[in-house]
Amino acid sequence: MVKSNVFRQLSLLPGYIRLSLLRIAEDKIQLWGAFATSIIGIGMYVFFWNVITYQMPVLTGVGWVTWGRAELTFLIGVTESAWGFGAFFWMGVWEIHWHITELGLEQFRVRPASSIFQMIAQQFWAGGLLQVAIGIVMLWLSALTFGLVIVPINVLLGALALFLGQAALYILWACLCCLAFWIGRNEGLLEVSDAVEMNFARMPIDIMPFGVQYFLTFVFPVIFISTVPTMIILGYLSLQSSLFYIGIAGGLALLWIVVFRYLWARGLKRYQPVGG
Amino acid sequence: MPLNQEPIAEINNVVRIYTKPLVKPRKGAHRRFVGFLKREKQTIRALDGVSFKIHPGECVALLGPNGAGKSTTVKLLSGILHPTSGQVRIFDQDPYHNRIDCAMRYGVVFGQRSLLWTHVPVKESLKLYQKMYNVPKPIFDERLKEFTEILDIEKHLPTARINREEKVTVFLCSHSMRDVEELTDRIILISKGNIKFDGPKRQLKRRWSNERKIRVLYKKVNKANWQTELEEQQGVLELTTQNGQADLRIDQDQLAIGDLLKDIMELLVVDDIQVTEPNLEDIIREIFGDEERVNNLQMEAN
Repeated sequence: MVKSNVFRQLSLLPGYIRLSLLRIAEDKIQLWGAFATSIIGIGMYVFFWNVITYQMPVLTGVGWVTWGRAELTFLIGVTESAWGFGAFFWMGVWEIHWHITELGLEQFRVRPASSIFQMIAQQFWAGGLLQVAIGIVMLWLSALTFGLVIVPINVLLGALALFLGQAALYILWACLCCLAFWIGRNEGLLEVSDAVEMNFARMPIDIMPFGVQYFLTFVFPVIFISTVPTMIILGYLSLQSSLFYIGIAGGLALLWIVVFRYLWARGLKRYQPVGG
Repeated sequence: MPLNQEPIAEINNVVRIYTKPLVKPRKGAHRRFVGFLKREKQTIRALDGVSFKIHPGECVALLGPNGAGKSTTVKLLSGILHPTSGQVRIFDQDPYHNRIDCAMRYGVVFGQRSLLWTHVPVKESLKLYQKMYNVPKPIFDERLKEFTEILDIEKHLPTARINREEKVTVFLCSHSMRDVEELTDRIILISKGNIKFDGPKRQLKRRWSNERKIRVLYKKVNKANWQTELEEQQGVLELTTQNGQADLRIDQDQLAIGDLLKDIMELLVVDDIQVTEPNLEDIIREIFGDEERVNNLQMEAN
């Protein structure tokens, strides 16, 4: 039953992606806005890290990697791609608490598909794919400029770590959204956690003290959307270390899925419709 | 009504309780702080022991004033809500725990909420539904064509045709009494979470429509005090006159129409007379406008 339901949701994916593409085609201003934001953001990061590396050519701390201008520029590309994929695929997570408290779950609960899947898929934002493309161009340019050696297997492992880590992070957010069943609107909590993600994703986390690293790896796994994929793709981690990080990201994603399913099932029984 | 068949949906002694925060003005910082930490709540019994069955092919209207529990009933039947106590079955399954299986077999439309995706053509939304409901492409194309024609030709009441031709069971909560009048055979009246009436539409009309409206168009009057004479008759509830037209509302239990018409013919030179029974909208408005009558209404067994 569960297996057949998972396949059913997957079979709906192309339809939702198509709707998302049609929507963005109708709203080109939003697409240009995303393009401009992405370019300006990247420009600011490049400028920022150039200033830092001018003062301090390499950043080292308790981590294994010495972060120079090349690695930091590459990190910007990885972060941009990760954010693009997040904006494309996971945006709907941010609306879960909104549906619980204000918009209602009815439209999702009457359709023969997972409510959560629908909430997420309905918000697929094709503009994120443009951001992914810009991020990939940035990676390519930094590899060319600094002569970085990229091995395909590392790219695959890095992408896997990023995908699983991002899933863990967003499912953790979904869990926070689920608290709306008990405490009502809680966008404040989400905004704070978003600010943590936005700020730490721009930095190499392995140069920070162990406590911060620990927090950003196991509690709020921001490390997987920028630092870890960068280290893996650039070949700074051994295969065992890469697989270790991928395992942690996968384990965290699984853990938060279990927590989310529990919260969602308990919360739904408390759900009170909004409006008529 | 095919009552010999197994019910397609059944609600058995269902209670649904909502809670909402109790807003109380508090004086003093300490009390406000305690109130913030320990919020008081009030409970509302949206449904209070509701039971009914719906059989295949039936067309049932659930009617009641705002806050009566209509939406809650529909949301329980469609598995959106979980009952606080009691049992809900649809297609012999628990719709809450087997929501996706059940949802493959029913469709719910909420008036104020669109089920289509915004900023894309309607057809694109329908294509996604085709996938969701596993509808084969040739059948989808055929239905799309058919319903495009229905909606184009019959701008009103496509639901009626769907019910008649497709043998679909319809459970309707509508404020439009025209839909209810034309579409449904059975009516369930609900008020304050309790079912007040459940039976055929004609039975409801019979119970409530002891009133008749009589419109008389007359050329001239035979007696100057004809209005007073009519008004003084027991059973005449209301009389209004305007330019050769008299409108009466009478209670048939107290006054036979035949006797009244005889009197009218003596008092007036009549051009035309129309006798009408109140429509469903009048009846429902009257029922729910009179709380005492609602409370005294005996529940009708299905």
